[in-house]
Amino acid sequence: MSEPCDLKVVGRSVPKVDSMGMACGLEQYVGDHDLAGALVGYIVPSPYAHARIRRIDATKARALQGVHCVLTWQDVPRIAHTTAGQGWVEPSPYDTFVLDSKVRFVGDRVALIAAETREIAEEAGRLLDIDWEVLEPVLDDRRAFAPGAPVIHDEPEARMPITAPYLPKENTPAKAHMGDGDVDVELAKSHLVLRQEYSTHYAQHCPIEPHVTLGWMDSRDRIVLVTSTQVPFHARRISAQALGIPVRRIRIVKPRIGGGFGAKQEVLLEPVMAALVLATRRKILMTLTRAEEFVSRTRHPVRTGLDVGFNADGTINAVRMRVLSNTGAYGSHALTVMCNCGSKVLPLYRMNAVEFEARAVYTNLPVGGAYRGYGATQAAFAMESLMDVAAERLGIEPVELRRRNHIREGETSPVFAALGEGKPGVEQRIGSCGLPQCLDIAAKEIGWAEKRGKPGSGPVKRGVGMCALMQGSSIPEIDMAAVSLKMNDDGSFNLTAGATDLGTGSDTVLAQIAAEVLGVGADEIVVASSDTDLTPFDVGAYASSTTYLSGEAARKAALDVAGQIRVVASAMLGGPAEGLSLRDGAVFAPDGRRVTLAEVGLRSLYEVDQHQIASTQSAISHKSPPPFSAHFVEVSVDTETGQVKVLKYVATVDCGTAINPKLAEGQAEGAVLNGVSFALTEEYIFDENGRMRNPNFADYKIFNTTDLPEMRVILVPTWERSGPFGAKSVSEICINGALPAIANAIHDAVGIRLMVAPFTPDRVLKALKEKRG
Amino acid sequence: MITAYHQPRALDEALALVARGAVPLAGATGLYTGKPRRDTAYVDITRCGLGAVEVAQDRLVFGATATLTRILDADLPGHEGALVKKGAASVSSRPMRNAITIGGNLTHVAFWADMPVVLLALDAQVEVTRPGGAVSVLALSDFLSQGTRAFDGGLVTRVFVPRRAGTRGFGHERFSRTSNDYAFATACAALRKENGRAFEVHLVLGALQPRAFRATAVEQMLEGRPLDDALLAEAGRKVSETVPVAPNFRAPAEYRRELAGVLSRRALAAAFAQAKEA
Amino acid sequence: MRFETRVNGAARQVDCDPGATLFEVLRALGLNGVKQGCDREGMCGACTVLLDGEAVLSCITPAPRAAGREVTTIEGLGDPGRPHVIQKAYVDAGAVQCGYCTPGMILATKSLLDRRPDPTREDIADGLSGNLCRCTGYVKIVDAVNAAAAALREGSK
Repeated sequence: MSEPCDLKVVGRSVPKVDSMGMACGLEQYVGDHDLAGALVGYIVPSPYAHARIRRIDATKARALQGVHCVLTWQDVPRIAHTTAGQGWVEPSPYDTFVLDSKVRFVGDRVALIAAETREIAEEAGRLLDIDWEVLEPVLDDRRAFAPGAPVIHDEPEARMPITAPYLPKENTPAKAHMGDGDVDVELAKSHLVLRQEYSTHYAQHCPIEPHVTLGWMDSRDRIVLVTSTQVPFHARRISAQALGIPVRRIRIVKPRIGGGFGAKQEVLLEPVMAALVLATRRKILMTLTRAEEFVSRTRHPVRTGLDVGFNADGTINAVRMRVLSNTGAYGSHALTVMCNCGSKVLPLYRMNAVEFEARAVYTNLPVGGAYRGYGATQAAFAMESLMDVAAERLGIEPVELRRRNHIREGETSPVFAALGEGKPGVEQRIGSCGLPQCLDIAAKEIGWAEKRGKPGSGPVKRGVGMCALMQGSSIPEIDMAAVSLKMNDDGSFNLTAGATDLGTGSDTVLAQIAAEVLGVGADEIVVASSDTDLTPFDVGAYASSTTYLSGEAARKAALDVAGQIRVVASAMLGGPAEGLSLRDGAVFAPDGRRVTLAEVGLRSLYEVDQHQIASTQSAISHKSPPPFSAHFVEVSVDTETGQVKVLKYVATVDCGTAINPKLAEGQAEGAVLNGVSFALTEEYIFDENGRMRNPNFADYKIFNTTDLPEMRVILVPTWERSGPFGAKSVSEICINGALPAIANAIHDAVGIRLMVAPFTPDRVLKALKEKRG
Repeated sequence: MITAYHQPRALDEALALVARGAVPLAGATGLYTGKPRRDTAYVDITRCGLGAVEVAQDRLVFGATATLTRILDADLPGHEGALVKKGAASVSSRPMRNAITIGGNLTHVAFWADMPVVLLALDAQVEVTRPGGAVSVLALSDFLSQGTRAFDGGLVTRVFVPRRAGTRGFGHERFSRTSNDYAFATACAALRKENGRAFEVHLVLGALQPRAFRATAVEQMLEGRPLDDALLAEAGRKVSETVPVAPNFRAPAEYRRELAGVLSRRALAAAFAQAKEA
Repeated sequence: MRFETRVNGAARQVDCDPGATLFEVLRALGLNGVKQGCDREGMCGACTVLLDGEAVLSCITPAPRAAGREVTTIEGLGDPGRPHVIQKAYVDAGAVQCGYCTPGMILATKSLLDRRPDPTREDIADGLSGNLCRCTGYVKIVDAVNAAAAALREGSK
C-alpha cells in the first residue's frame, strides 16, 4: 500500500468485537461448552526424567469403576511427528509419538485415561502396573552433547523432516552456522573486542486459562475438537498425521481462549484427545491443571556468547554469536527459536562481518516451545547488555552508540538472506524504521539525561538503562493467510478467517481493515474465525503475523468484494464501475448520486443477475518488516537485600500503522510487564531428579497490581508500504526489552553487570559483594 | 473427603462439634489444597459471633474469626494498632484477606504466617475455650511452642494485644519477591526507650523457621543500651551469624540469613526511632 | 447438603456435596463467568465472585458459606443490552484482551468502588490484588477502574 491517506476506521481504537461479551461473562471458552455426559481426559505423568517402560499392564486400571478407557503406547499408532504448530513441512524434528515406551522428562506422557472424574482417572493412573527401567537423566545442557552422554532420542523413527542437521546421538536436534564476511579479520582490526556470555532461564507463559480441549465424535464419524489453540489448521493436520487418519476426518474449532503467548502454538492435547475420543466414542474434556501447564511448554533457556569488535567511534565491525539452546525433552521449535536468536537480533546493527553458530540440545527437562519473543528475547539480553558494556568502555553514551549503529530505512543486512528458520532466509530492505524517534522520545520521557549516573545516597540506589529492539512480521515465503468475505442483504458483511484471535483482538483488526476498504463502520463486518470446516486457511497466531499477513488477506478480499459491489452499483447508477467510490455505507457516482450497500445487497441476492458477492483471498509475505522499539527503564536496587524494583518503564514502539491503537498499546503493555517479571521474579526450581518444585502461582511469581512500575507505552507511527494500511506487527517485540534494559539500569545504579537471568536478590547481593571485593 | 460441613450459630454448639471430632474451619483458604484427606467433618466457626474487633482501655481484643480485612478496616489506635495492621496488610491479596482470620493465621502453622510475627512482638495473648466452657489464656509464645496441643479439642476464641499507652516503638521489615509472595524473612522489633536506651527489647524473626521466634540472644545483647548505628550493625551481624534458618527451596539459606540480619537492623532502628521517651 | 442462598438477587435452593466449592455450585447453575486458572490455591482470581459485596475466591470458598448470603456473579452485573458502568468502562478502555480474568477483575472492581468511590492508586492496586492478568499488564485495567469511578461519581450526583 503506497501512501498514507485519510483513514476512517483503521487507526481508531474501536472496541474489540468480543469485549462486551467477555465483560458480561457470556463469551464461550472451551470449558463453557455443553459438557453434559462428558468424561474427563487425563494424561498419566512420568515420575522419572528418563526411563523406559519395559512393561505396562493396564488391567487393574481398566477395571476401576468409572474408567472408560486406558491407552498405553501399545494401543495407539506409533507415528513420529512434531507437536510444533508450524507449517508443513515443519522445521522441527519428528521425535514425538502420541504415547511412547520411553519417557523423557518428569511429567511426560505415560498413558491416557478417560474416566468419569479426574479423581478416578488419577486413581487409575496409580493402578497401572509398570516395570520401569530408570535411565540416567541429562540435566545439564552443557554436558548434553558430550561424548558418552545418555542418548535421549534413540528411537529409529526420529528424524528431521526438512534438510537440516539432526544429530540425536549427540542429543543435538538442531545446529546452524551461517556467516558473511570474515569475522576474525574484522575483530583483529577492531579497537575494542568484547567476548561475553549471557544466559537466560526457563519460564512459562502462564496463560490464565491452561491448555484445554473438548472432543467428541459427530454423527458422521468425524472427530470434533473444540480446543484452546493458536494453530487450528496445524492442529488438524498434525493430529491426523499422528493417528494415521485423513485430515478431513477432523474438525478443529477455536472458541474464545484465555491467552496463549505461544504456549498454544503447540499441537499438544489434540492428538491425545483424538485418540481418546476415537477409542471411547464419548465426549471428553481434558484440562491441564496449573501444575501440568507449567511443564507443558516453556521458554527455551539459552546461553548466548558474543564476540563483538568495535571501532573507536563505536561502530561495529563484526559480531560472532554463539547460541546454545536447551530445548528440553522434545525438539519442537528447537531449530527455529535457536535461529531467531540470530535473525531477530543481529540485523539490528550494521556490521562488516557476521557469524552465527548455534546448537540446540535435548535434555530430560520440560520442553521449550514457542514463547513470545521466540529467541529474540534471549539473545537481545546478550546483545543489548554487551552494547552497554561497550558504551562504557569506549566512553560513548549508550543511546548514541545505538544511533551510530542501527539499521535504517532502505538498508539491508546479510543476516536476512542468510538466516531463515532452518534454511536460508529472505533478503529484505527496511521499508520503515522509527527507531531514531523511538530513542529520542523514550529518553526524554524517562528523564534519561537527568537520571543517568545519579545513584543517590543511602542503601537504595537508583539507575536508568535502555535497549533497542527489533522483531519481525510473519515468516516470509512460508506463512499464508486467507480471508473470505461475503455480502448480506442489509449491506453488512460476514468475514471468515482462519486467523486466530487469542485475546489479541485480531477479529476486530481484520474487521477494521475490511471496513476501511468497504467504506463502512467496523460493526458492519461480522467476524467468525478459526474453524477448520468453515473458515479458510491461516497458519495461525505466531511469528507476529496476524495483522501483517491475515490483515493483508482481509484487505485483498475487501478490495475484491468492493470491485464486485461497484459492478452491481454501476448497473444501478449507470457509468463505469471504476469511477464509483465506496464510503459511508454507500456507493457514489462522481456526480454525487448514490446507492446504499443495502440496496446493492438486496439487488444482488434477489433481484437481477443474482449472485453472492463474495471473495476469498490469500496473502503471503515476501518480507518480514521489523517493528522497532526502544525501552528505557528506571530501577531501584536495595544494596543490602539485593531487591531490584522497576520504578518506571517507558517503551516506544514503531509498529508501522497501529490498526487499533488501544489494542496495540495493550499488546505492548502486557508484553512489557511479562518481560519485567521474567527478568526479576519468574524462575523454575528443579530438584536433583529434574522435577519442577514450584509449578504453581504461590511459588512461581508473576506480577499483580501491587507490583506495577509506572509504565508508559508510546506508539511511534511509521508507514510500512508492504503492510495493510502501513502496518507491521506489535505483539512480540516488547517482551524483549526488560532483561537488557533492567540489567543496564542495575549497572547504572550499582555498577554490577548481571549476565545470568533472572536477577534474583541473592544474585544481585552476591554480585555486589564481589564488586566490593 | 468432606463428609459434613457444619455452620453453628453459637460457640457452645461449635465446641460440642469439635468435641465430637469435627475439624474447625475459619477462613478455609487452605481447605482444598494439598492431598485429599481421609473422611472428615468440618465445623465452620465464622458464624458464632467470634468476629468482632474491640478497643478496650488496656488492650485490643480480636475475635478469632475476625478477618484481616475487618482488622484493616477497624479503627485501631496507637503504634500497636498500626503494627497489627502492618502485619495484616502484608498477607496475600485482598480477596484472601477477606477470608483469612487472625485465629486461623495463628493455628494453621506455616512458616510464612505473618500474624504470629507481629503478635509475638506485641506480647499478644491467646484465649482458648474448651467444651464445657473452660477458658484459658496463654502468652502467644507459649501458644506457639505448644503447637496444636494449645488448642486441641477446643477453639481459639480471642486474641489480646496489650496497649502500652504509647511507650513502645515498633519496626516491621518483611522481604518477599513480589508484594503478595510468601515472606523470605521478616523481622519485627518492639522496645521501650528510656534515657536514650532500649528496654524490653523484642526481636521476632519470621519465615526462617516453621514458627516465628524471638532472637533472645540478640535481645539480651541490646537490652539497656542505646541503639546507635554501630550497635545496630553488630545486632544485624549477630542475627546473620547465629539464627537458625530452616531450608526453603525458594531461596538459599545463606541469603536468607544475611537478609534476616539486614531486616533486623532496619526493624530495630525503626522501633528505636519510633519509641517515645517515657 | 441443602441450603438457601441468593444469587444475583434471586433466591436459590442449593443441593450439593458438603465438600463442594462455591465455584462448582455456580458452574452447575450455568453461571460460567467464574473461571478456573489455578489448582485451588486461590492465587489467580479468575473465580472471583462477591459474597455480601466482598470479593471472595469461589474456588476455595466452601459452597455452604453462601448460605443466607448474597452472591453476585458477573452475570448479575449487567448484560450487553444493559451493561453496568464498570463493564462499559472496561470495554471502552481497551482493558479486555483474552477476557479470561475479566469477570473476576470487574467484580473486584465493583467491590472496590462500592467501598471507595474515589480510590487512590494504592486502593486500586489493593482492590485488584487478587486478580492476575497476563495479557494487559494491568495498565488499561487501571484506566478502566478510574473511568468507572468517575462515571459512577458523576451518575450519583
